[in-house]
Amino acid sequence: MDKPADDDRQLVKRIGAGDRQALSELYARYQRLLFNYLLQLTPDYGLAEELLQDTLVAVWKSACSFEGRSSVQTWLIGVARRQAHNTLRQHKISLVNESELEGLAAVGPELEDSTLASIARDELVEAFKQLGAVHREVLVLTLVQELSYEETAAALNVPVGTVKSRLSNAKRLLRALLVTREGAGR
Amino acid sequence: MTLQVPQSQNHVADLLPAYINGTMDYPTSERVHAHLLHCGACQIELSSWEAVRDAAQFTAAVTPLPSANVLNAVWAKIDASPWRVSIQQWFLKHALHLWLVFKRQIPLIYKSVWIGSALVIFAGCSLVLFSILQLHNHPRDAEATLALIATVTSAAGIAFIYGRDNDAGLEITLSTPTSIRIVMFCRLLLVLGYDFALSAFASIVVALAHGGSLWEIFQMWLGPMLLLSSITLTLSLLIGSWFAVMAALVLESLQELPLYVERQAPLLQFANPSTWQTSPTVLFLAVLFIIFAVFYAPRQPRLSN
Repeated sequence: MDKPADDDRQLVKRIGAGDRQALSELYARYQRLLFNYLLQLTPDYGLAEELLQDTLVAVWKSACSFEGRSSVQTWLIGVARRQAHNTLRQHKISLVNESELEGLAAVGPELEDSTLASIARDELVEAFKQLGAVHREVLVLTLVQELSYEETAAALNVPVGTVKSRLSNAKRLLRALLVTREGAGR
Repeated sequence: MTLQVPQSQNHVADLLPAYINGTMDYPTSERVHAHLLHCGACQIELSSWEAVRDAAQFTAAVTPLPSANVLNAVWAKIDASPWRVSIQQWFLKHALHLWLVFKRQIPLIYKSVWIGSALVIFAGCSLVLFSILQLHNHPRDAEATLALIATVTSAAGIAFIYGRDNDAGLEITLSTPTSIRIVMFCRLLLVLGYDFALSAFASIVVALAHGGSLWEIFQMWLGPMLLLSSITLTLSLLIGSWFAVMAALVLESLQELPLYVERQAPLLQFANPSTWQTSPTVLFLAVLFIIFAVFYAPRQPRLSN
């Protein structure tokens, strides 16, 4: 996962200068990461692949304006997210599940008295897949791609406080989904 | 069941995702670590977050890779995308679009603007020639008359180039992707250009008739024509076409009267007659009015409504 940041920046600089080999190298490094991220925003494999193509085209076009203020990984996620939003808006697909958010509105900050560690991983994975895109993406960015809160906030274009609250909400929703599944199983 | 976090309690629940992904700075990480040693609630939170992380990482690990032809598709999109079109092609494409917009305004402008302007300038030119050749009037006075006719004719034509009263197809024009400002600017250029050509032709005829300086005749009407036309356009957009025509007549009369009635009506004079000619100030004011009319006025409801 760790790659020399300077090396990434050099690649982007070369892409900005029109070096196709550099884009191929950058893609080889980040294809899994980007594709996994895009699949959090849409379960449609074909659409996710189309978004990945659009992301790379946008990277090719805008690489010369990359100033290096954020890491290349954060920048790539930001570009992918923007492409996804534009396309999903055309498909009238919302990233925010309103009903999920309504369920959370009345609940204050809380700690749980039982750990999710006691839940079987397969059940957790299934519950994770049922989360809305907005919650899955913040979990993937922080826990899988290991971005800091600041980097996640930059990629999502939201304040750091929103990242924290989305993370907290995501975990509470996971628990709520597990409780629902458990209740349905009885 | 859940445990509500006491307001005064320094729990570290919101820091735990950053703690387990290793992106926290060292002092904060140490603080979280120290807190976890004695806080059972946060230890449960930590183990929950670790379980969520494992589930998320497992999901990512089993995510299929994109197909092998993604890059080929990307190159195809890049090679086909319009941004690769050269600047020259881009310029030509937009120039052609502007030319088509420009050309298609001709049938949309009232025919009376074209015919009326030509007749008035022709009549004015004949009158001026008659006064010079037959009545032996001072050529300067005759040229001033020509300038007055050219200026008022242009201003009157400009007053009828835009608006619901003058363009039955305005709503259709507004619904097209072409900006109404471009449409209006094209019409302004068309009518101004037409009046300029007519006035230039009349000036050449007058200059040839009495051997005067063509440039001096041009100077008498060029600046005033631009300024008065731009004022008329603005007034026609804000108030109405006929009001704009009347205002143009009044304004032009106030400028021209002192030439004939020297020092008889100095209080009515808007500007010194010598400044009511082609000067940088007049041209600058004309450009200001045109910018206002083109960029601002189409957004405004008419005051007369």
